[in-house]
Amino acid sequence: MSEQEDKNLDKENKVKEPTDNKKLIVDNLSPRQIIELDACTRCGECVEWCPVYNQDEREGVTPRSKATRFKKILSSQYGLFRADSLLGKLFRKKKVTREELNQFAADLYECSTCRQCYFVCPSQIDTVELWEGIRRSFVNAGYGPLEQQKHLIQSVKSYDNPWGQPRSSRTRWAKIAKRQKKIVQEPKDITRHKAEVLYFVGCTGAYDVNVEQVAINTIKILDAAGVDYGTLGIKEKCCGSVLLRMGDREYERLAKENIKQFNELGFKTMITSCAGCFKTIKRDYPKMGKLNFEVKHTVEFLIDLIQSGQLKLKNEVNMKVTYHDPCHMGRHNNLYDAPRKLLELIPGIELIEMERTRENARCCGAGGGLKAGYPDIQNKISQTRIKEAEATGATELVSACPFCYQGLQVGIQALDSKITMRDITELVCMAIEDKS
Amino acid sequence: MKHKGRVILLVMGILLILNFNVSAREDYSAIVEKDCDACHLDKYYPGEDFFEAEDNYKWKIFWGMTTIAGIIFLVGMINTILLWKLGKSPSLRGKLKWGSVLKVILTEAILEKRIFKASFLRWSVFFGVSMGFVFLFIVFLAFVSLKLSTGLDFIEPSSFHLTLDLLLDLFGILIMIGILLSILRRYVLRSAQMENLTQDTVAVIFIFLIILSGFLLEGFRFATLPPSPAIKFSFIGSMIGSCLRPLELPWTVYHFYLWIFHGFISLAFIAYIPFGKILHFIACPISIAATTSDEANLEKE
Repeated sequence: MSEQEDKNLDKENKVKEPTDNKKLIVDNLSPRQIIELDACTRCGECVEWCPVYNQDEREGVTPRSKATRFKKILSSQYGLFRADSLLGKLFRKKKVTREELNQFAADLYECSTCRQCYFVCPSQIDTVELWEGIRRSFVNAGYGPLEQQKHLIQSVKSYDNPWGQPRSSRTRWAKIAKRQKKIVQEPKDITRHKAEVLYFVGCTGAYDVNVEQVAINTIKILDAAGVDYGTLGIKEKCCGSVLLRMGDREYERLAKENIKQFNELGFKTMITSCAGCFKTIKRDYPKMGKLNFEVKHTVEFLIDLIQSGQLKLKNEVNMKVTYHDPCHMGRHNNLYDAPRKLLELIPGIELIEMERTRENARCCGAGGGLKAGYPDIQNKISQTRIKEAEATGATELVSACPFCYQGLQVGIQALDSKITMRDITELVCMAIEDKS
Repeated sequence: MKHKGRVILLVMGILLILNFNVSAREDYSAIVEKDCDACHLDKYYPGEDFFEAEDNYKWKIFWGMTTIAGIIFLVGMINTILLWKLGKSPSLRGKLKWGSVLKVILTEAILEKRIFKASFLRWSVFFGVSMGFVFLFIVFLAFVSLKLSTGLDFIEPSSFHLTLDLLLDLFGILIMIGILLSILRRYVLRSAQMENLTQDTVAVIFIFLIILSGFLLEGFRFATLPPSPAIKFSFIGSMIGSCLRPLELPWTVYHFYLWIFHGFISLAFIAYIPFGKILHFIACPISIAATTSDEANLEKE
């Protein structure tokens, strides 16, 4: 590297590096969220249930530690007792060091935003919303995200997807599937031809070849049921979940653009097979703008189709399965019964529940930027879940989220497990496909 | 009947709450047939004068301490509110859902169902300490408002005083049981997830000392009083008094200084609220109410 390049790199790093002890701007948080820092009694319920602490037994990663340390950071920078105030000096209040801030940022991102801590917190602190808000303050001050997470954010900003793929490749899965005769035709482009239903494929389903089967199965089912649907094709943009979870303000731009595009298209229902997209569009988008359509997870939509007689499950699918609740579908959206009901409707399926299910289901570890930031921890979390699935004696592990699919595959491979990972749409497909 | 005495006491208590003038206290000197300074030996009091110390010094000290504690509390709360106000985003998703909030305040903030499910021991600690304080506060408010609205005095010996004695002891013992269980849970049983910070220990010591000194105060008072049905309303205080009575010590003098200590520790506790763990007494119900309201609004969406 030339001297000039070195200098440029240094200069670039200086721009990126936060100035020493940069004051955090926390106006994106609500007064209630700051009160919640005081509501934490440090009882330790969250410690017992946190999937990350379960693998990396450091107090720093626990929700109670994050709440306490963030309060300490705030009170050293603001209020009557801040470190540079008269009272602060009188009581020898210490400034929070750069190292402490960096360490806090590292711990803050060591979280899959699974929301288990919220469900066991006696003070009912809305932890995930709090972490995401704090992450945003940290990103604004230059302390976040982690180096290993930056490529995801950069990719969304550059290509509207976190996988570093060009926009034009978003429909590649459909083209290949048609060529391989997995689907009869490519889904129609809803921006050109109006439809009642928008199938929001999501980045993982569209770009990851190992998971594209989720999208293919969904298309097959929708075609079989004669649903008037379409996709956004190459005009589909990331829902912004990855940006929101990691605290990047770019999410707002993306969300607003998406909301505008969705509302203008005039469809009645949006369905998505991705729990992350589902959570973001259904729960987070309404904070940015009004949605003039209904948002459903594919699972809910399929139940409607089956119950209305539009979709007939004619084949027996003789499998012993266990179901993994995706965090963004279950704990974030209270959708526990729908996937179980769908499994019940498939003839021949025997569902065996894992030890921890529904609101206490173990996380796969893939969400919240954890997989990108701490792949080793995610791997261990996933292995724990796989062992739990294996203990049921089921041969198939079913879920309803491409991201969980990816995350759990990591554990299956690490353990060389015999259990087969399946998306719930795959089982529905098996039940409807013409065997001839 | 085995519990006859307790039932009578309970009935008397209820009657008293309903303001039946059942058993007003007689003047102390008429009961014991001796003057105050027979027990309150002047030489042990500030200024070597019991009446001067009781009427003057004691209250000067008390109001001095109250002023200091009040200022510290106020400064602490201003600081806390300044920090809370740093947040500028909306705190609630939609309007506050009063129905859901009131329900959850009952089930979670008061009865703490989540803690009950997680651990009975922890729930007992919570219920004893938190609810003990809440009930004490309610009793205090009730008596103050009664005094203001009806003129009934509850500080001076009267039927109301007896009701107050009964309730203070009842909720005092509730807090004491809670705090003893807390000590057991924190420092003896101590689960793996348990973490004892200085602020935890400080809170435990404060509460323990407040309740202990409160009961001892009653005990010191009753140690010099002849046993009577009236003092039975302070069932803990009278029990301590009965134990201390045979020891011929200047309990009245001890009472004077312990009263100041009790006042000091109680006011210090109030001053400490914004700076330590006790702040969650205020913050928790807010968090629970806000989250519940949001959940209710989300369901509606």
